[in-house]
Amino acid sequence: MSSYTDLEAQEVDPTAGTAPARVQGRTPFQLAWARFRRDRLAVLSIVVLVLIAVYAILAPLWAHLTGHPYDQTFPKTGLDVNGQPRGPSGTFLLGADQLGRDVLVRAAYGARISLVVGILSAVLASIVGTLVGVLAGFVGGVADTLLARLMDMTLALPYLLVAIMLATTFQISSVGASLTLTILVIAFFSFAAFGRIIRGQVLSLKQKEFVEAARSLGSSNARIMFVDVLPNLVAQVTVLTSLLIPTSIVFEATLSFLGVGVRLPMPSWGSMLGEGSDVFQTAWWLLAVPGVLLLLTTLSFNLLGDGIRDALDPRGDRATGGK
Amino acid sequence: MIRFVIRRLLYAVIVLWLVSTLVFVFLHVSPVPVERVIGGPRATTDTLNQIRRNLGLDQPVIVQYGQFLGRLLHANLGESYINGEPVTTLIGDRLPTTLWLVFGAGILWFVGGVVTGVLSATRARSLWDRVVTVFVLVGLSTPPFVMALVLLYLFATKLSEAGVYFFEAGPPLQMHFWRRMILPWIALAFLMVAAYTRLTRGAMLDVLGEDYVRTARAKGLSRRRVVYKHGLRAALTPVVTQFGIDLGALIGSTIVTEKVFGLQGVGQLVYQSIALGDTPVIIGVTLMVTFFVIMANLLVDIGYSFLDPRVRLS
Amino acid sequence: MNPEASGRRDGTGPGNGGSGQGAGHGEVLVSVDDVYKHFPIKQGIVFKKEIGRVHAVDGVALEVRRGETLGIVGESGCGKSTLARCITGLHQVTAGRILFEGDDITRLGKAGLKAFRRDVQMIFQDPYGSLNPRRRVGSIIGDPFAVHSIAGGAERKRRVQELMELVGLNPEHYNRFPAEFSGGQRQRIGVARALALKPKLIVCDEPVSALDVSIQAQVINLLKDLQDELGLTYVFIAHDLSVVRYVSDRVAVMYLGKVGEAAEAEVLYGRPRHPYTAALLSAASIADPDEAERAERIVLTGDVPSPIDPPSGCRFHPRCPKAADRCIREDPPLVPREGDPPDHVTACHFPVEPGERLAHKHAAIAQVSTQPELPEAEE
Repeated sequence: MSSYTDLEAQEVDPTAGTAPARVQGRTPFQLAWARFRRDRLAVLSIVVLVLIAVYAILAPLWAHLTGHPYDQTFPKTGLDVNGQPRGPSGTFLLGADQLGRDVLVRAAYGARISLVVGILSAVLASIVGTLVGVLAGFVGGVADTLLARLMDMTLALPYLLVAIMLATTFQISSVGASLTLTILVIAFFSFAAFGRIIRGQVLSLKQKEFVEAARSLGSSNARIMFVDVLPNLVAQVTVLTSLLIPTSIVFEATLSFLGVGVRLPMPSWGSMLGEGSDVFQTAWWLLAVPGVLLLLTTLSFNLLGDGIRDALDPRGDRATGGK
Repeated sequence: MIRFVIRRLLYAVIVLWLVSTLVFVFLHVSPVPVERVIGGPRATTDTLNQIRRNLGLDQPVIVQYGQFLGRLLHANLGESYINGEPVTTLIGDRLPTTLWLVFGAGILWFVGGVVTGVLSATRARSLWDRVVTVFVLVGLSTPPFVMALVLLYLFATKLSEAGVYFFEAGPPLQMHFWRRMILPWIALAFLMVAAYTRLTRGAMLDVLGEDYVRTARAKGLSRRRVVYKHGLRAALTPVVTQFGIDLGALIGSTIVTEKVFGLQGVGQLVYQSIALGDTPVIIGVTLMVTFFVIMANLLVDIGYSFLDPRVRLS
Repeated sequence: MNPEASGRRDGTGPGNGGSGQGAGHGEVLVSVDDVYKHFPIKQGIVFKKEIGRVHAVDGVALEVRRGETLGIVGESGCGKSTLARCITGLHQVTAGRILFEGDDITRLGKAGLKAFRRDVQMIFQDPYGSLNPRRRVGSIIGDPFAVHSIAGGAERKRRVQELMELVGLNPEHYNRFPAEFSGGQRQRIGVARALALKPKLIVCDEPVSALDVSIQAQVINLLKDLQDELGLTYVFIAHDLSVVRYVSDRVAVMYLGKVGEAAEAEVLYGRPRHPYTAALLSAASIADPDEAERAERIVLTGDVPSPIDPPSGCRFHPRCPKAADRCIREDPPLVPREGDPPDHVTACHFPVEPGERLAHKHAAIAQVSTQPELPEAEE
């Protein structure tokens, strides 16, 4: 009881200062947005992500401006007399790589890969995970047993090993197909953990009296699922998805680092790190540029996810937790 | 309890069978042409067919699967296509390196994570807590292989230029053991320390807010005693659970660390085998890793019943 | 009792067609006929085997008459909420029949069940849990209209706002979320939702026990006013005896899945025959201090036995101050006892006589009994 009382107090509070006489009801979304805006780190992380996204979207422009297409080598200007890559300079703003390609341009294309793979596979995993979790939790019975076991088994698989196996044995050479495969592989190994959480949520939501109330009104199962259960999962799904994005980005980078992710010559931050690892001791920028970009992106997504979670659920999950 | 263990072991057998079948089917649907790997680029069709016959690859898939299952029942994982060595020997040679890597890193991250987590939970909102929060965020956002590359760059490359040797690569494992392992341990543990700090801190804060902890304080027990006797024990339960699961799972994901630091462990073995299409080795390692994951989960569940008296296994 | 209720009902009440014509008080609306509800306790992963069952409702027979309020009281765990969910069709009964206007609802098909759900509504205990936190109040109250495709758009909004006004909510709060209301207001939302389809029966499952005492009276009076206005029939479940007395025409006392005693409220409260009823009543607070002084308390000892393995014979015997060997062997039938009106039924071999002092019987019982549970009674 008490937690609800101060919850109400807290929700009324922001308006009380300005217009105590007329307390306007605000939607949960508005409240969440108000909370989110006050989270400086989360807002900053959005700014960083937008900058990275702009950098990625404009990749062809960088290539055009520098005159360095991402897959073209410039042995004369990019490499020194010993064949070692040249560091950051006027011609190569972020240096050249071991083959004399422009790191600035390649990292921009790599950003595209990271963002596309990270976001798409996280969204795909969350859609499948939510579907499976809701189905298992809501239908119950044999379907639940089967789906729960399936998720358990997926989680027991050595994911990196199987991912490498999948990526290697499909004899793929085209960039597009390898991109699709990478997304599918990452989504496959993420959906189970996602589905397990959602299933737990659904099971606890099912016990709620408002579901019983809906049933006693004569609501069909489908209606209860879409009108009563799913809206209560939106916050959870949003938070989980946003936190899944950085994990997926790291996953992609790891696969590409091992040479089984997105196929060359399309650069990815992971494959840039992998290819350059032999010359790091002399060419630090080959480690620093993709490394820092990768860290910055995952850090920003993590901060953003935390911010979204705090904004949506200031004290744990209100819809499903508590009594 | 015994019935519980037996049931879980039966379940483990089923999962192992399913996983091996899955990998078997998968590798047969879309194989790397191993005869090409062995025979080399200039081998004639006859040679290639001869290699296939020698390996038994010319028989129908269902026959191969039967032979495979038959061997499995005798705990025989078969022989490598590439060098004919028994898979168990190959794995046995490589396993110690991987186990040292995983358990060393495990101790490091468990101790590191729990200590940092407890310290920051008991000093919530202090400067220390804030520093830890930042560390956790950065740690969780750092891909393990980037960490490994950075460590290698800083300590192995730059310091050895300065005459300080932190790192040795290459076999055998026994020589310069510490110097060889310390960087891989840190690289592998870094992200996990962050994760465990967060986990411990959260669990500890939850426990310290519980009624019975407040009651213990109200009874007049010292803060130290309440935190370390009542709080820590309850808070550690979820952390230990996660530890068992992660330890099991990690055995399958040391590939990157082993590759970066040149450790000849199981990870490298399977990575190379996948590229070569050495199916028996791939299946063998997959089975072994899955076995570790399942065993870790089982041990966690058993350990749970000791840590938490409310849980009884049946 | 309320003889005018039917007259008022005809004007505004629900279900004017069909069996409603000329129906007055006393006509049976719901008949619970020897209903059992057991919950199996299962074990195993794939092949689940039953290792026991919770006897939540274990042979209950009741009638609810049109226009009345039937109160059901009992300690927590006695099966009253399960019974409520059986009556509203939320639980499948294990055995027995529930007749609603003569139709057995345990055998209804999908369409029949949906029609039945229009006629029977439920008000839930937890004003926080029973309203979906992610939906607006207007949508929650309008849910019945949407589910049964009765009214949509502006028409739905108008009717929802009428309902809000009826239960004492500000219709302008149509677009608010449940979190913006207090516990009492939330329960009014629940009442409005239950009223939307003009049901013939409303089952109130402890509708006020989660509310502050000061709010309880408001909600109860609202329910009573609505009953007078709309001629509603209530099944009112509570563990608070005084609340039940205030709202109910008739009262049934449940203990461990069975009805121990049922009678008109005044009769039951004035002259309880079952020792359990007498004990409950003696434990309730009495407003008049003089009377409180005279009253003596019958202290029940021991816990309510587990419904997984209920006691033999009379369920109450391990805790009953009057228990004898016969009570252990023989389950007493629920019938009128000597000197009681026909609708005052008691399931007891040795009903309490007026003026009998139960509290002093303890010593005597302890001597006769050989039951292991009883020695605890001396503590």
